[in-house]
Amino acid sequence: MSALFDSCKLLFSGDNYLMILMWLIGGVLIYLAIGKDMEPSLLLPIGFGAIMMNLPGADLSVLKTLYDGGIANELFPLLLFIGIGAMIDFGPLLSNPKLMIFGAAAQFGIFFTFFLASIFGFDIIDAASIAIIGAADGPTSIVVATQLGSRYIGAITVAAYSYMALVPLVQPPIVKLLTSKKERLIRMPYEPKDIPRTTRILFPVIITVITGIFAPKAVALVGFLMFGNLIRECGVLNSLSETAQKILANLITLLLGLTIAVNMGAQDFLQPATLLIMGLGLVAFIFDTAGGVMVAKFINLFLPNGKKLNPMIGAAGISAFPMSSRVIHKMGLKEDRENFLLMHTVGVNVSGQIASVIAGGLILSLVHLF
Amino acid sequence: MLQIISTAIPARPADIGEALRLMGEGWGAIFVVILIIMFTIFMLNRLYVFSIYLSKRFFRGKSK
Repeated sequence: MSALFDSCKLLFSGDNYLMILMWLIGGVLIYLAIGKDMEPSLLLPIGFGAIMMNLPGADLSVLKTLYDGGIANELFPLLLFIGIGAMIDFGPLLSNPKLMIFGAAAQFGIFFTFFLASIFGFDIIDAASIAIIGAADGPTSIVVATQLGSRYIGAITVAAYSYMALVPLVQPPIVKLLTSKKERLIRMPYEPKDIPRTTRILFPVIITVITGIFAPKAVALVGFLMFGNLIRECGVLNSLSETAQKILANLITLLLGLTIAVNMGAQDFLQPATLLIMGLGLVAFIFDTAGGVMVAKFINLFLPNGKKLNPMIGAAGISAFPMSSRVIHKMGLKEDRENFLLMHTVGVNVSGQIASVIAGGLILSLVHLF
Repeated sequence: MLQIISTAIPARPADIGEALRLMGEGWGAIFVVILIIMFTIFMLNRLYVFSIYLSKRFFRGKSK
């Protein structure tokens, strides 16, 4: 009986009361997942893991083992990329490769956030890890933060997944602010093209080779993504493709969410820096969106009337796939019920997926140049 | 394009000049890689069109 009371006392000794605050944060994450349907597959396990991690005296060596074997060595996020690659249809991008430029444009937030985080006094490793929240891609954020050895991996992961879920709230006001009504009404007819199977099969291989040559640090990220896509497109591994899309992706997501909570101990997580990281994450998403839209407006300066782009599609270059493409498509429909931008936004969105992964690799290379 | 230098990353914040340089180099490098990928896809699409042209011509020649 006294042992029971001793465990209770443990909760109120020292700084352990902070753990109760972490239960609340865990509870909020679980509420957002269930009540608001925000990235439930990630936020729910993260929330539950955060509660588990903050029980005084609890033996969670199994979570630590999972962390060492799945996140510290980047295994889980990379395996998840196989599933993501198998889910993505690059068809809209292959039929209009010009759209890829917006994938690059919408990575601006990453680099602007690095600049801002440096001004706020984060060291190079942490600034780079925080900046990659702007990749709008959870696995990339985890890989970069882990590889760089950031202290804030827990906060970075929570920020990355939270803002991905908040894309429908974050992007529309920025897009509206940066575009005129006339621009939002621009129609872009879609001309579907036949994409030969050979092109679909060669595409993942070529992307991996090009990335390997120009951004070698991104090869693991891009390679696993493209391997997943090759399984999908080759046409002879349908059951593997389905397994990667469903079973593998679900299983890894489950373990990834729970395991990431290892970094959500009260002492590590409840710091002023966490709030700042959440703020910087929002800045990254805002400037990603702005980068895509502004480059589209810039390109429009050189295009004749009738060929102009709807600058809203630039915002879909943020990687959050497929959320962003749907959000921008819906914005287009809201302005004009017959303006169907979906195929363009999907093309831009998948190019954002590729560009964000390459950006992760570039960040890993660039920080070594200091 | 980007050299990998296996040096330790300094444990200090980047100064404004360094941060601006990374911003420019990083964003610029993504554009370069993406433009190369775009060019490759264009070439793939052109090759496909060309192969159709060749096969049609070959087929037509045979039928005659």
